[in-house]
Amino acid sequence: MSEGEPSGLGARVQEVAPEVLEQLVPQLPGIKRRLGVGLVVILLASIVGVGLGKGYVVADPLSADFEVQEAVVSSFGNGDDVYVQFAIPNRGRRDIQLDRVYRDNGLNPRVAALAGVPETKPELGIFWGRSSSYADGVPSILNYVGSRRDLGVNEDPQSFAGDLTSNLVELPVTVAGDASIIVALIVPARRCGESAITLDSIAAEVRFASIQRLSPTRTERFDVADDVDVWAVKETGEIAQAADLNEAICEVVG
Amino acid sequence: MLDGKKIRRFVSGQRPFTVLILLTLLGFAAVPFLDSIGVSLGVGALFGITALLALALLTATLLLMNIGAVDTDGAEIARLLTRDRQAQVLIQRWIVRARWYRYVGGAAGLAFALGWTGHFVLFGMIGIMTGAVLSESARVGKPVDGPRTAELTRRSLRRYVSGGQQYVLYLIAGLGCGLTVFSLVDGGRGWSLYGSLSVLLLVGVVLIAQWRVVVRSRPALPEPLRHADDLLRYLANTRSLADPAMALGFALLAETFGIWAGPQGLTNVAGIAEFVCFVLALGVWWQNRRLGLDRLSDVELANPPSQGVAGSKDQTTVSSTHDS
Repeated sequence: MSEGEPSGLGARVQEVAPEVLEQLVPQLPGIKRRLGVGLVVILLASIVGVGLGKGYVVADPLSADFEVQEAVVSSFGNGDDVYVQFAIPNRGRRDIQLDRVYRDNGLNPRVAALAGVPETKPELGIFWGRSSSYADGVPSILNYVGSRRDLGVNEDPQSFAGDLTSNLVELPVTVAGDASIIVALIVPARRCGESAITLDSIAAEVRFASIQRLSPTRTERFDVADDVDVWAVKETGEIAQAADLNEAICEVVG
Repeated sequence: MLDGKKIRRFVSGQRPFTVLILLTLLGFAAVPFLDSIGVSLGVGALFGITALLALALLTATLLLMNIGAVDTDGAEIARLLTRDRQAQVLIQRWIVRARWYRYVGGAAGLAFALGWTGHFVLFGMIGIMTGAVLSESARVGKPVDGPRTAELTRRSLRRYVSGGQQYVLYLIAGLGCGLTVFSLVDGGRGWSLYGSLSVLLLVGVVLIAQWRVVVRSRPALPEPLRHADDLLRYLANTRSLADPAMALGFALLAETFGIWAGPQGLTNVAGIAEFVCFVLALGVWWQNRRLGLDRLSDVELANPPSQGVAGSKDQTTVSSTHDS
């Protein structure tokens, strides 16, 4: 190979490219046509899907026309990835994002009661639901905390707290199905950063804490005092999982 | 407007390395931006970002290539299937067309699911199946003026299908029948009934599509082209229609079983059936991706239907010509 000639991959590309291009260039008009048609078809499908999705949410799980067997919060996060899972007799399960659930004039009261979430989406703050992802099958209460974007990024926990508390006067918690024990913990945000939270340490410090044993089908309301400090709500039946709780709190309050 | 000369320069030069360098620089350029939003990166993360950018670029390129029907290995597969140059062109065109319809259909199905319920597997497979049926129903080429020829060959469906695949389709239809009856008897109308009826509809549509592939007319052709056409009909019925139908059938059965299973998952028979059907659906889809032509068995390659099945001795071939 003489000096200046490409070697390795470059040489291979130079060898093959002309043949490929000889075939490719005459096909360019057809490629462009198919590319255009394909993209239009995909775009139309997405538009139809979104259109039907809007109708689906309104007409399906939120409709009062049929009985909803069970509705639980199946996953949670800070904002967009929160889903409510509906189990409808003979119609299977549907996972619907909470943002979509709340898009059209609030939530069906029966569904809201089953899922343990408010009938109308709170502008910010926390609401609770039961989690189907709990390891031992005991439904647990989860919090849904508005993302920092929704809350408005506020580096000052105190002013942030004022907004939060005003939206958390009442926290409805519904126990349904086979739930026998739900432990609800309300944790002060100043515990953020700790590697673990234990039941005893919380009980000593929280302004408001409620650890309740609830019987099935009973509904409890937790009234939060007006002077509550910055806090976030999370649950677990097992205190050992409180490390995750800690992260969630820190995520909210910064 | 795509410029052939630019493409030639891009491909024939040392451009891949240039792209790699540019991507690396782009990764480093992201550092100030990430710093500004409070994210500090180490060298490892930096290379990770670069790799992600390269991956995104590659994915976008492949996506556009597939939607534009730029088929890179269709010609090679055609060369493997037949030695005749004209037959290779015929087969390559079919491969490009079938893959394009399936790909666009599948992508449209995914886009649809993204907006609607999020059942990506199910709607992706529905899209592939729809694309496959449309592909095999599409009229190829324009009518030719002047004398037309027709080959009067008796063709039957069983010569152009795989027995095993057909039995699986019938099994899927049988399960669909059972679930339909069960839905009606148990009073569980709604989605369970729709799901099981969809299975029956699917098998019916596919059988009709397969039959249409077999009986569609063809002109009197030279022997190599006739063999290639027979091979195409066989591949259309097996790879293009039967395989996606099996995948979609299993997916629909999984959905229907899932309705009866309820939220308890694998704790009951219906839940186990749902899981098995779902795995089968994914398995068949995986085997059939890119039409499954890279998985043609040696037997199929050695004895294509043009010689071993459709071209058997008991086939009567009569060619005639007439004016259009």
